[in-house]
Amino acid sequence: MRSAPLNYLVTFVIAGLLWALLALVLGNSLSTSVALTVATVEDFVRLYRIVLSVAAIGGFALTAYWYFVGSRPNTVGNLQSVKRLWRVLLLTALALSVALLVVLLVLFSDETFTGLQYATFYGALSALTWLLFWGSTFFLSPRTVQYLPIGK
Amino acid sequence: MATNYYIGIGGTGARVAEALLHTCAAGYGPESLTLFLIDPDEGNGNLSRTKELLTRYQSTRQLLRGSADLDIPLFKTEIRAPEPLVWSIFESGDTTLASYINHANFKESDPGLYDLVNVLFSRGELAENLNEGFRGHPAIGAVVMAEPPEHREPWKSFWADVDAAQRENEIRVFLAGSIFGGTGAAGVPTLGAPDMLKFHPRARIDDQTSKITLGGVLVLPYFSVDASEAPTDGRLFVSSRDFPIATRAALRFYSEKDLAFDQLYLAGDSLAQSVGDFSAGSSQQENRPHYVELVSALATTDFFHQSVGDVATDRYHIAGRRGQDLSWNELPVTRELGKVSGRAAELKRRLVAMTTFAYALIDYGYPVLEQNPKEVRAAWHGDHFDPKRSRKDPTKDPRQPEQKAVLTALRDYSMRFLRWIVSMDEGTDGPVKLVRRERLFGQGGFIGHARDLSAIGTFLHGPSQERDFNHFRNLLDAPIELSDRLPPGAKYATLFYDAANRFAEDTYGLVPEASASA
Repeated sequence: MRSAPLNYLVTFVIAGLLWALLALVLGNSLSTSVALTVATVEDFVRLYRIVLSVAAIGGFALTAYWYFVGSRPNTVGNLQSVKRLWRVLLLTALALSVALLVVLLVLFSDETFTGLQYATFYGALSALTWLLFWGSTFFLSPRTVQYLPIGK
Repeated sequence: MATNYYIGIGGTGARVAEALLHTCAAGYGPESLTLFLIDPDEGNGNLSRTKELLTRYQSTRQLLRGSADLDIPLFKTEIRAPEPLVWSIFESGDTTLASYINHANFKESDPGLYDLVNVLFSRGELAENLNEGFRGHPAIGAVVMAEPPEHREPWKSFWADVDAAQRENEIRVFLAGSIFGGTGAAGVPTLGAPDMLKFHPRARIDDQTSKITLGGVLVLPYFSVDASEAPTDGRLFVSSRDFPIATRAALRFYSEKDLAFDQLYLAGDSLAQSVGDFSAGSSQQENRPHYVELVSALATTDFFHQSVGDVATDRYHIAGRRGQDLSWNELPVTRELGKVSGRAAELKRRLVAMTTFAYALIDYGYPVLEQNPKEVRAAWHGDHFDPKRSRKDPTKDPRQPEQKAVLTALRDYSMRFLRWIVSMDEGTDGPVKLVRRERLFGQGGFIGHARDLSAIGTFLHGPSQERDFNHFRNLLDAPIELSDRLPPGAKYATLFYDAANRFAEDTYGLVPEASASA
């Protein structure tokens, strides 16, 4: 599971399933619960799914980059700096989730959402970015760097 | 199983013992071995070095293998040594040949014998203080070594083993010494005489058979020393200029006398490379290791590898270089033609794996032990020495004093092994093409991987994939199943040795263990 291409494939599948669950299933559910004043439900669902797609692609890309770095033969000699890289990637994923939430809010700046809906947006974005990165690297990091993710 | 005895005689015997200890540490030696030395010069630097190394070998082996059933060949040979290890011949200091034989008393009690002694020995020889050995005069040694004390160690244990033996050839005795110096040249033929060991009343079964198989290596001249420091006080001494004459006389003696050796190996080198400054004896006589000592140690292992009931009848075996250079392929490993390639491959694999192991343990494995375990994020460490698990069960922690002592002993021995194996190298243009000294030790001492990442993959003369230290660490990270019953110190050593072995195969193209034994 930790070696390429299996870890890339499993992460891709997880990201795809998460996207399907959060963008399609949760998106449909949100479309019936949000109270829109300017935007149409179709516009909301389309833009929500695009933002979540960007989050999923970003989350997967960061994870894939970690796998790539982790499996390079010379990585074993630089574990301290690679550990720093993991933290930078996690922060990047975190920043991506916040940035995409801001994008979502800007796109629907004329609308008013409930606190639970804001939390749901951020939860979905987190799941596809930093949670995907942390969870995947926790379980699927290449062997050399498997003990670097926080919590190991 | 046969009982193996190695008896090193004189400075060369001690130096061959040093090489033998290192080959045993690398896993190339026999299953068991009893070793003792003969030298009247107890302060001899070569002897001191070997004594210290033997103590280290035994303590390291005890720590590593004492309570663990290891799968790796490191320190496989159980080496016993009587106490005292050295038969120093004389019971008191400042002995001369004259005082030893009570020469002065003969003048009146036996004038004929007195005159005979005066004919056989010069005044200088009779009066020479023998604290520092026989100073290149084997005739003195032959007299004083003719009656080894059977009831004092180390001979007491030896004869007890002979007494306990039941079958022909059950005790294998191998003598090692130089043919050209003092103590070895006196001791090897003296102990090789039929009545001394082989057909001693306690060893003989009948006129033709004995409990003892007697072998030996006669080390012919192979080094020179800088003679500018030779003594000018008129005392006896031998220098490398005397070696050829002494050797010629000794070889004639061996060919004419009916000695009891079953097998005799002769090893030498005509290049006469310098091994240090001149010293007639004492602590200053400590010379740089030489490959002929390794060759002589290989003669020893070849002798001990033969099965008890299969004593070869061919008596003389000779080894020397054909060309200018000596590489791994030229090392003589056995007289059995059908086994040469397998043994040569095994020897190279063992020594190169040990060199890699020693380097990696000194440079990386031991320093990791000094770090806070929580800070060590390497996969191998997390798999086998998880700090959370070690906190719950301290017996799994390699940093516990008892376990760390295992690795400290291994590290200290490893440094001695590395210094020994690189000392045979004489630089880029030198004739010995085994291990490159300049890749492992430079101007500032030991070359760690932080200084040169590629040192570990380029230390061997010959073809190399030139892999670097990161490749070693990747091999170390590879998953490996190790028994949980293995103590953490032994587990640590096993991990490093296993990675070293695979690194040696990958990088230096060594024949894998399974293929070699197939």
